[in-house]
Formats: sequence, C-alpha cells, structure tokens
Amino acid sequence: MERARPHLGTLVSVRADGAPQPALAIEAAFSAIARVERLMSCHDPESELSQLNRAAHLRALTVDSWTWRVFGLALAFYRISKGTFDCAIGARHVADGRLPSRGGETPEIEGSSADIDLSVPNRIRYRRKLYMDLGGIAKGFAVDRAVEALRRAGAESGVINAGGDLRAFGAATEAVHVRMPCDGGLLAIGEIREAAVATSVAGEETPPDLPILDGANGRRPVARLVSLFASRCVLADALTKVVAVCGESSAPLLARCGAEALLCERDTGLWTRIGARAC
Amino acid sequence: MRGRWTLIIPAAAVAPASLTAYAVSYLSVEQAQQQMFPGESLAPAFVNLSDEQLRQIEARSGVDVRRREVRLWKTSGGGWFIADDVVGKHEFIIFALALTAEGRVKQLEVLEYRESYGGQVRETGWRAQFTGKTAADPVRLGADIRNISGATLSSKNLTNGVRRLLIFHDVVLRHGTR
Repeated sequence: MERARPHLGTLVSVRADGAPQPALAIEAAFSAIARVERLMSCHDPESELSQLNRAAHLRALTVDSWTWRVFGLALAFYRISKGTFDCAIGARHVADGRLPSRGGETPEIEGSSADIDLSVPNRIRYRRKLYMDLGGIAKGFAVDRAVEALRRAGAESGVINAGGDLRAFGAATEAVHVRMPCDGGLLAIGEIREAAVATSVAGEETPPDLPILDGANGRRPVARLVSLFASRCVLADALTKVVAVCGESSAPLLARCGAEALLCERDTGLWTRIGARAC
Repeated sequence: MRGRWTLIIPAAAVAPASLTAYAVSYLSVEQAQQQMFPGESLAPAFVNLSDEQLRQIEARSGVDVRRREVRLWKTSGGGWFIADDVVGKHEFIIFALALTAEGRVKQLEVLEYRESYGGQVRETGWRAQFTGKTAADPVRLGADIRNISGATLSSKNLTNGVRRLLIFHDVVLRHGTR
C-alpha cells in the first residue's frame, strides 16, 4: 500500500508492505512526519524551532525529545564537518530575505551551531541570538522516524520518499533515479537495500529548497549535484550538503561515516564516486 | 546497521528530458471516500459556481478557480468530501479533501500524481551535458521509476488548492443555501 500527502513543504510518499494493518502503519508514519514538521518548521511561527529562535538566547527552553535529538545531530554534523554544515546559517537566509524574520532583534550572522548549549537533556539554550534552520537535516530525520513507525506497525518492507530524501527498508532492492536540475530528466544512479539516499544541488536556485551555503564563510559553492548513499536518511540528508560544498575533499569524512557519494561537477560534467563502498 | 547500495556512474541520460514523464496512482475516489469516512454513506452534491461565488473565492483565497464544477459529496455524518486537482509548472495532482461539517480539514490524500516536462524544457548548461545523447535505455513508465531523489517538488500548489476549497466551503456551504 502506498499513500502520498503534502508535508515538510513537499510531497511525501509512504509505501508499506507486509503490515497486518497497512492503513494504520501508513498513518503512523505520516504522524511521525507531521510531528517533525510541527516541531521544526521555520515557517510556522508556533513551532518549537520558531520559539527557540525567538527566545532561546534569553533563557533555556524545554523542548520535545525529538527537537533535542535533531539539535544534537546538527551539532555533531557541525563538528565533524568543521563548520561547513551549520544550521545557524538561517541568520544569513533571514538577512537575505529567504526566511521569515521573527520580529525583535536581528539574528547574529557571526553566530554558529557551536553557540548552542545542550548540556541539560531536552533543554536548549543559545549563547548568542541565533536563527537555526533545520531544513538541512529535519527531512532526513523525519524519514528515519517514519521508517521506525512502519517497522513498529509490523511492516516488513517499505519506502519513504520526502521530496527526494528517501529510505528503503526490508528485503527489497529499490532502483533509485535522480532528477537532474533544470530539465527534470531522470537518470538511474543505483540501487539501495536497507539504505537511504538524498540529493542536493549546489550553485543553482532549486526552489522550494534554499540555496546551499558554506557554513564556514556563508559563500555559495560551485555548481554540482550530489547524491549521497548512507545507512540512515538523516546521515544522507546532512552529508549531501557537506559534499555539495566541499566536493571530493569530503571523501575522508564520508569514509568515516560509512557513506558514499556520487557527484557531478557542472563545469566538467564528469561523475565521480567518493567515500565508503557498501555492497 | 549497515546500509547496502550499488552505485551506477551515469553515462547518458536515461531518456531525452522532453520524453520524461512519471505517474503514480495512490487511491481511487471510492477508496478515498471509504478511508476518509469509514462506515458513512456519501451522496453526490456537485456544485456549479456562480459568477459571484467564483469571484468571491478567487478574491479571498488569492487562487485562480480553473473550473466552475466542484466535485462534492455530502456524507451521512454531515461532513464533506471533495475531489479536486491542481496543476503546477510540471505536475498534475489529483487529491481528495475531507472536511468536517464546520469546514475543518479532516484529511487530505493525494489520489494521483503525474508530471511531465514536455514543452517545459529549456536549454541550459546542465541540460547540454545530460541530453542530446540518445535514449540508450528508455524510461519505462510506472513501477521502476518510483524512487526519485533530487530537485524537491514543491507542495505549494496543493496547499493553495486546499485554501481555495476551504474558502469554497465558507462561501458556498456555510453561508450559501445548502
């Protein structure tokens, strides 16, 4: 059984096979995705993320355990990417008018994920006035939670695709295609089993996605397309941005994370693969 | 847990972009009705919008009304079921919206999703690299093209379509003669 609904600013499809009650399994998956959306959307002024961006520099706020986990992941990716992956880049998107400012003080462009205090479980405090944008990681996290929900509901296999961040679980091998920017053509890029893929395009405007910026200096990287293969979708989602910025020099990081990337440089049109191979 | 994957270095476009199309059906109208209003009976109550209703809906929703006919059903429990569609730059989405009697969204399901890039193709740097090559391995429509990564699809048109139908409820069903 397969269903699709709009979530996270895109169309999310959920497929579940082998569950005793497939409709309930799919409902549970969509609930998990809706929960992530409710907590972590930048565009919803009532989301926990918006509340944090308004007030967490004034005092520590108590948050849902999922929000706290995503912040922990964001901080971990910030560290292992040496600042390239930085969700605090939201401040620059606000300054450039791509994200809604939430009134009050202007967020500090100099702030970074390093200014986040997660020392108390389920509490978050910003040491500076930050504007965190979890758009580079929340979708992957949502897909992983939805897979958990399907498994709990007894699904033997399935696929979740949140606008191109996708993960397959169970015995089936799934062919994956990538949609090329601009002309929308489809290319076969491989097969996955118990794995996830995410794709990013750097150096081009691909609405509704925000342009990818280097967290270390706020610059736009050179134009390239990256498809990232990893065990979990949150890993694929975050690492695809790092490779989009750093290109082939991110190979050692991918190897450490057990992930592999397929990238195409716009200048040369050449495809390369970097990172850890899994077969 | 360790993921497993096999990568292919793409050598040529699977198909010329102008031929690329993709479609998937999720639910029929009848299946959606049963799922959204289990145990209830639904009676067709199709509406043809008057000029004034159409004008009000467009003004209040900010969305163009492409068709006067609204495919509406009233449920035995007092709710409403609407089958509608939205057209984007590349995509065509048929969806079903379930509303409570008060006009609150109960559920939204995509029934069918289709996209076509024919006629929309622009010559760009990217395109020049990947097309112009012949279709070595034409895309088979359907089952094997289901897991697509990249170029996030916007759900903005669908969101606009839901807003238009909520205003329709307010203008025609709540304040109208029905």
